[in-house]
Amino acid sequence: MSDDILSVRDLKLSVKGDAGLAQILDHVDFAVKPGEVMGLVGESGCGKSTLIRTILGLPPKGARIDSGTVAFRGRNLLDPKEAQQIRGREIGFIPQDPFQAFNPVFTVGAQILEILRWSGLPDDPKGARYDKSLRARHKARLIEVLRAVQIPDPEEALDRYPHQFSGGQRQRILIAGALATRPSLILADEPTTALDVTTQMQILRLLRELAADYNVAMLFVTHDFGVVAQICDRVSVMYAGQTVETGTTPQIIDGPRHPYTGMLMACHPERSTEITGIPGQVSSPLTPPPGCRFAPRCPRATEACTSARPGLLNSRDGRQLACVHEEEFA
Amino acid sequence: MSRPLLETVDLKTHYGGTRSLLSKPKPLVRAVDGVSLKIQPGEVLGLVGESGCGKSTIAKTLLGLERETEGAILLDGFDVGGRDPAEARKVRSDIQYVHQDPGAALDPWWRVGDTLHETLKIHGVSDRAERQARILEMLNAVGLNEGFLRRYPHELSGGQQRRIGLARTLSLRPRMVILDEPTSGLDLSVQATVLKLMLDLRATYDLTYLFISHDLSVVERLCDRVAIMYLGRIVEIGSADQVFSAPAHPYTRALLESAPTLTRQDSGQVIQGDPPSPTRRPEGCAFHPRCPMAQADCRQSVPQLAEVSDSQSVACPYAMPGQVRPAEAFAS
Amino acid sequence: MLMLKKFLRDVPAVLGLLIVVIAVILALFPGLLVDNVDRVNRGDILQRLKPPSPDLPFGSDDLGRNIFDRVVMGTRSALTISTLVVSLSMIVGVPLGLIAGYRSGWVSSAIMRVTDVFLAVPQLILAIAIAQILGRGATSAMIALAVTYWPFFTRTVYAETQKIRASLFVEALEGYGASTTRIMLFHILPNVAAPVIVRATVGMGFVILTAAVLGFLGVGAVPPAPDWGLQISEGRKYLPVHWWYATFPGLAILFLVLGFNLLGDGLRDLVDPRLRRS
Repeated sequence: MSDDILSVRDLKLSVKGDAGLAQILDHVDFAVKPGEVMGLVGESGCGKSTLIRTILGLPPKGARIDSGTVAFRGRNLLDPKEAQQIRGREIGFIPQDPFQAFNPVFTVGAQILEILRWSGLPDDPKGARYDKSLRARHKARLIEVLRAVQIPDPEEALDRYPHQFSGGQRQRILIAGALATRPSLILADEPTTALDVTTQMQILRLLRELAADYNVAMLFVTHDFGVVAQICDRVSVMYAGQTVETGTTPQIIDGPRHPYTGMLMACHPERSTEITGIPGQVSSPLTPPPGCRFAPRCPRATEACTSARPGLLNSRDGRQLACVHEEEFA
Repeated sequence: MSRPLLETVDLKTHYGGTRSLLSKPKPLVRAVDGVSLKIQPGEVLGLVGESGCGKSTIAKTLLGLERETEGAILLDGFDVGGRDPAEARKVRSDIQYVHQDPGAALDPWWRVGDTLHETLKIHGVSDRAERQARILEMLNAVGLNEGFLRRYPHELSGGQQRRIGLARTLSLRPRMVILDEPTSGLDLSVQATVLKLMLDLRATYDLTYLFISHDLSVVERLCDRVAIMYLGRIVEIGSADQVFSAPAHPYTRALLESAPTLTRQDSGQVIQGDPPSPTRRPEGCAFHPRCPMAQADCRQSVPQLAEVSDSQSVACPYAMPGQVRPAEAFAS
Repeated sequence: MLMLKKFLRDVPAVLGLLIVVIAVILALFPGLLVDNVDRVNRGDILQRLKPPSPDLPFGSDDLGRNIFDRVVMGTRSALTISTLVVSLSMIVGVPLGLIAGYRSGWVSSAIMRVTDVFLAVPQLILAIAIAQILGRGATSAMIALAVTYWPFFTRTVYAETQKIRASLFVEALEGYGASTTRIMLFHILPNVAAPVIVRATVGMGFVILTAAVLGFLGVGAVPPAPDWGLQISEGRKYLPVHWWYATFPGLAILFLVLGFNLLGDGLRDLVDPRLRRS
């Protein structure tokens, strides 16, 4: 499928650390289409952060790609040089914690303009020197996007320091920074977990509107299905480094087919009056179980689950599913 | 009703606002500004609010780590307020605290077992055998085995850290436990087992919980009563059923509407703005700048809590009690 | 074990450790290299100012003494002085830093202002002044150095204590009602130990250097003690013809100070990789 903005295919990645070789990602596989908001859901230890860093072309220290591809519009993101060209220009990034993303001693305007200076804007004249007029153009663009993220008085806001903004406003400014270069994809790493509930909903609605207005695709990483329901068109669920199920948001939330997705949904307070959890613990990436990594905690596990990793199958309703017990569904 | 286990009367904890010779004057922060609570023995009271609303300060003040500026704290009917931290901790040893991040609450250089022993030592249990017995009992109660005593904090998972935190606190045999965001940072699948454990322990050891959280879904499932805080004051308090099914205060309604549900919430007004900082507290009702139904007099007078039904009090003269919960209205 | 492995991979640090270990062995058992330990102050006037040779590896001085023996014996004096000075500074500086960092208010301010005053006084000049008052000798040099070195420990411990004081486990201990003494001794002290050890290691090198300067200026060790600074001071008169007289004690200082600094830097990296200096 060449019309994918971002495609991660069969990605297997291990990190060599002091304690040994950790098999962090094991056949991660999903794609983001132009203009869609794709959710990436998984609990802690599922390899989300490693995956994001790899997509940004900044894999963790000691990482080794064992197999697979990561491509942005057909361009190889596993090539550091190519990734550097794309990152910050065609892929925007919204970090998790707006409280730590800024340097407290510079104004927010100075910090974002500095980033724009190095990344440049797509409509910058070719080979132009960075001078007053170019800076003024960058500033004008920044003010335009700040207005789009509903920062009051954007001209004045540029000259203020990070601590003069609330967490929600800082997150808006970071979103503006990511949008300024007119990217076609934005990577959002749990952008609302550090925020309060009332602010979270504001930011989610803002992101949804911006994605539509600017026709930008988004890879939205979260652990909260409530957030997924608000913003994502499709979702890919990861468990312990493996992609287990990918489908449209209603498919996953209302009719999960993979046992892990099903059990995770059952934990959601809206889905059960009783307090339920998933027994057992996520296996360590140093000693992953053979085959399906969820098998040790799965009530439906059989011998077939541990003998080989279930491949990702296309089901008849259009989702991808990695479970041997759902093969008949596919 | 029986006598409350813990009662606060018009409790106020303010910081700063004083001028001293050597340091710069700090602005007055009214972190807790007139809170009156009654907690009955055996109940679970939820305290909900966004960051900066003063819920952690209440916890610290009740424990005695912060000295209240004004107001009274009654434990079992006895006045235990107005004391310095060291003395306050002694008088209020019936109240204990489980830290928000029990992993970080363990000294990284100490084995878990040593930390558990130390906690009991601090409370004067000098007999080693007795300490060991109590620790093993608690470990068993939280579902861990003896092997965990030899581990270091970083060798524990998030859920195990919470369990150790509970064991540490409960080994002191408190009557009331303040749980500060006990599920924050936990995955949904782990959260459930921890919540269940807390309910079991409450039944076994006859505990009273003050449950501080910003996660409404957790509060709804666990608490008998719930108090909603905004900028140092309680704006609504009542039975959990009542507050969640028929929120009366506009802020409570905004909170409930803002919590993401599994269906997309396209309709409904999202509350605008951020919670203002406690140093720049608006005059009158602190919520009026964000309130969709604010009237002129909301800017002048601070509304007091008033009963709107037999199990619900609201600090808003324009409150509409008995209204259907907005999310449910939308879902149906 | 992991720490040890990491340390062994750091070549300069291992080199530093090697130098320090050799110096300590020589200080404890100079007999390993010196034939007659008791006779290092006695010379043979006929063997005066001989250049290095197989018999006299570092040559001989103006009184005909074996410079090699005296350099080896100087290790003991250098290490004794630096160990005592650093321990004395730690005994004073660490508790003050702990108290200042844990308490807030006037106690803390008072301690830190006094520390600032001591830090503002030029160390060497204060040391010379104290040595003058107390009279010449290794003891006054040591007191003088200790008086000028403790503020560094106070500063280090103060900064670390403040950091740890703000951490959640200290807050939790307070919540459980632990006493201040208990928190400071059992919880904060072990957590500040690492930076203090780093500071002490670098301090050893610093004190050896300063003690040598004091010896050189004539306010430290008294002749005929085999003190490196003193030796350089005496040998200086014979430069450049009899170069070996001042050179070998100088090299001894260089290597030992370098050894402590390399070791200190290595330990620092081990404790906190973010502090790696370029």
